[in-house]
Amino acid sequence: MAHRTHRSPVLIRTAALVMALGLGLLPRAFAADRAAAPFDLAIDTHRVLFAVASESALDDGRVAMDPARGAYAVRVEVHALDPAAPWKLYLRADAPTFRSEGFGKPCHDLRWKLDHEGAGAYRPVEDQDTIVLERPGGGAAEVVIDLRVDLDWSTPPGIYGLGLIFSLVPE
Amino acid sequence: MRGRAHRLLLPALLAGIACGAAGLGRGRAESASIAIEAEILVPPLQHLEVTPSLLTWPLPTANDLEAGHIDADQPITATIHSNTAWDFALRVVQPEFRAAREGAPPGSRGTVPILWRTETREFAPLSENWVGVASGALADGEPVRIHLRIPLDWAQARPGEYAPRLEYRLSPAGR
Repeated sequence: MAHRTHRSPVLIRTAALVMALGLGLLPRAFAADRAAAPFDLAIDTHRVLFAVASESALDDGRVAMDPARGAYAVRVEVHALDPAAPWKLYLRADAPTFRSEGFGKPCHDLRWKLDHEGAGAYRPVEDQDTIVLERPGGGAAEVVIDLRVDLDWSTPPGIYGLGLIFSLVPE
Repeated sequence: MRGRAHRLLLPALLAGIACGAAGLGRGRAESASIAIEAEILVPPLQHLEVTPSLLTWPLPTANDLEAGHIDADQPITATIHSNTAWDFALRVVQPEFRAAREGAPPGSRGTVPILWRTETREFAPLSENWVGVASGALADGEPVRIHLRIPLDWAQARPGEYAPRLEYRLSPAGR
């Protein structure tokens, strides 16, 4: 009996050490791997400057960037180091309205579409995540995006800025 | 003793690995984000359309002279586009007419006043000085109709051709 009470603390300490290894070292080992994986997100610009609005733009109701196929506003590159890991790419505005002086132009006046889509495919930018592209099978991708601002003669003069956030979410 | 140790160590190891794997799962669920800025400059913009470009009066008759005036065939319609508060003004550049009666020396002139009004105003004389016709906030094709009238009577309406040139000005409010 005395023999058993003498050895139990040793076993408990050993078990705790092994568990600590599992809790501490293994995640750190995986974390080192995670630092290089599974994804890398790159973008070719951090500022999209639309052409200065003109009378014809107010008549037309929009300023697009860029309506021509092959020209675009933003190119997002998803580099997947784990080619089998599924992911989704989201887009959202960082605020419900553009930053401007005194006029709360709603963020959904900014519209986006994939470059290969037709002009009728423009969708409103929301202040909540909207799926741009998903890859259930994983893999790298290049996402080319056109942007358009809807405006008209009721849009007062000013500089209108809106932050856009692209988020890559592994599934 | 060795068997007891294994019974303790194996669950501990499994528990540790499970917790580690759970930690890894949280890591994989973390998203990568990139922020960009989209920006557009909208300057003050205004656009004015005036129709018709050539305004004609009917040929005056004796009845017109009896009535004391003759009105233009149709009102002038100024269509205003402005993304800022606006003022619309009007003036006459050449409020003279060139006498056409036979025997009159070249360049013989006389003045005939032009009166103007909008839907909400009474007729008032037009001059070479700008006169405010209408104003407003933002406008997307807001029409302003201007009616023009020339006073005529037997004493002062001399035969001739009268061709005033109207000028229109759309400007940001207060300028």
